[in-house]
Amino acid sequence: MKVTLLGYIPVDDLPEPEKHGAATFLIEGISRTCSHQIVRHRLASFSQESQRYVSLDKGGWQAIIPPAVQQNEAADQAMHEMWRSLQGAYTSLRQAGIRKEDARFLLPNAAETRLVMSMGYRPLRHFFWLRIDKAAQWEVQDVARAMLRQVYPLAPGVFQDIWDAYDMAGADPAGSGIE
Amino acid sequence: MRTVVTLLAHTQIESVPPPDHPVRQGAGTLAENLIEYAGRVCYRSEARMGTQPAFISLRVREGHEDIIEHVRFVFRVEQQPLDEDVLLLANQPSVEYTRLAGEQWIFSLNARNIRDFWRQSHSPLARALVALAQPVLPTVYADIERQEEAGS
Repeated sequence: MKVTLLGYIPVDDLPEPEKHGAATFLIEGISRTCSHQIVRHRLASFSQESQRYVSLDKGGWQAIIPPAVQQNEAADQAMHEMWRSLQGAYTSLRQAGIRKEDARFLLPNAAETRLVMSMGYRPLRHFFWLRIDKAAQWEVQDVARAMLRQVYPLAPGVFQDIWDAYDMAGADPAGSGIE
Repeated sequence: MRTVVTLLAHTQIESVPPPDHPVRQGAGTLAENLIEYAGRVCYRSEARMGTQPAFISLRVREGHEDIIEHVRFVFRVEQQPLDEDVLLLANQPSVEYTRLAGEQWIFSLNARNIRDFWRQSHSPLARALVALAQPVLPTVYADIERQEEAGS
């Protein structure tokens, strides 16, 4: 998972910076499970890598494997076997003349995706409250923390309460730490 | 009716992404490069950044307009007496506004909102927004500029 801040609206001279501030992020190396959660935040703009036009081979046929699976040998092996056999099935469908938009029906939630997301600071605050919380899924937690780390210095006044509530200053920047 | 519109801010990418990030490799303005990059993420074609000057206008023409939403603008609008076009703008989706004293408003909206608003209302306010956004995103508003010139 990697988050890159691509752009933002400078709010220093604007009234109500929560309303008028906005930031744009590139979010890479996440599963379709994670992106489904992100795009449910509808007060935002999204451009997501297409499974209709892009074969998963183009990105190296990457799967996102949950840490709990990685740490369980039997589960890890089962998931890797399934992933390899899916790649074979996808390739067979393509070779049989099936279009990418139909071959993708084989793709599971583990399939890697990328998206560009722009969100105003007010909906972004809501996103952080919901998705940094320990009740959120591990993957989207990591995404949300990485986003907050990058946007907080641009508008500390807008995000200070969230920064403090989630103890971001003391948190490990590497990830959620959830095992 | 007197309408005065000032551009206060727009999405900027000068200082944030790493210097070697592909978002910087387009051939347009910096804001246009952000739009081209968002479009190319959809097709995994970032390696071709800057190779096709018509990329953005082709996407907009085929209706793939989400990519232009990534650039937002903040305007100050002063209008006296107040006309209904200000209320129409305030009610566009994803438009945010602050009402200040003396018939002054701060509006923030994305590049697509401006196109939609212009299509709905060829008012002086819509034309002013296009005229101020155009230097930031020339390819996004080139078709509107051509129609304005043909009509005037």
